[in-house]
Amino acid sequence: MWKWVQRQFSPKFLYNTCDNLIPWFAILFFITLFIGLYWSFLASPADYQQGNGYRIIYIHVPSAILSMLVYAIMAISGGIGLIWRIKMAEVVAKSSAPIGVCFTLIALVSGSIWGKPMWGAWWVWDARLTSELILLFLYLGYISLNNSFENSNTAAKASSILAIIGLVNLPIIHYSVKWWNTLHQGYTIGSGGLKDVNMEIALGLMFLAFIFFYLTMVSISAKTQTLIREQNSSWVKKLLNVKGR
Amino acid sequence: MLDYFINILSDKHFIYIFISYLFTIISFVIVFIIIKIKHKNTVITITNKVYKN
Repeated sequence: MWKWVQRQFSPKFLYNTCDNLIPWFAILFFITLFIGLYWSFLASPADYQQGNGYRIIYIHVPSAILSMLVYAIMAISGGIGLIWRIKMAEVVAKSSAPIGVCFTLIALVSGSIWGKPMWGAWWVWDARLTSELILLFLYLGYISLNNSFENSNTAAKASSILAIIGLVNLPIIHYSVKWWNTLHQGYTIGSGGLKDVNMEIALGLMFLAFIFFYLTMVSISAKTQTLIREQNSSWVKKLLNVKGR
Repeated sequence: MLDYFINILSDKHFIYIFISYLFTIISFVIVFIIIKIKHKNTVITITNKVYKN
């Protein structure tokens, strides 16, 4: 069992797996994105209260969920790298950070654009919005800390500790609408917020599209990080020699 | 079904919907370009090193 686990985390295996999966993830991303956009604009009706403005949630909710999910993946991978010293877990953590920044930015900007017509303000210092902004700073802190050390092992250790500490922010983001009396609306999923089944399908499809985007990008980035870390190993030299000819 | 789309185009909130979707697409494209360029540069740098040695 342990040998199987070690094999999954071997740099060469991770590189080859990512290389093989990238086209499939990319195809699935485009398929789910196009069907999701079709469902978002052509198949789901307008909301009885918010009109068509509610359609922003089809990008806002998946990006907000992914911003937290990617952070959790980053922190857990960092933790695995820290405890079991699995280098490839550190690679996954480092590769996830820029994509997490992208999702957090989309969640904040799309939420802000939605807030203007619905609340009459671009930004309020609401618990949900503020904790999501803190998440963005945590991502940026992780990236800066990771790039501030020349030694990759020290960088991975320091940034993993920061990522693990930052995990405390995730339940705060999730439960902020429950713990505090916020302007931000309650949960969209599981609370009957979506009144039509087509709205749920559209949101589900867009969520899948965002997941496949993350998987495509993290696979490409993991390949890059693996090459950087393993550049002196024989399999990388062989691989690049073959590709170079 | 096309009625929904025509309804969106004539909606007073259309500009907000348009900007948020445009921002998302631009963000995705930028992230893709950055990651792809970094990968390409890494491959070139390491390949040059391999050939030097």
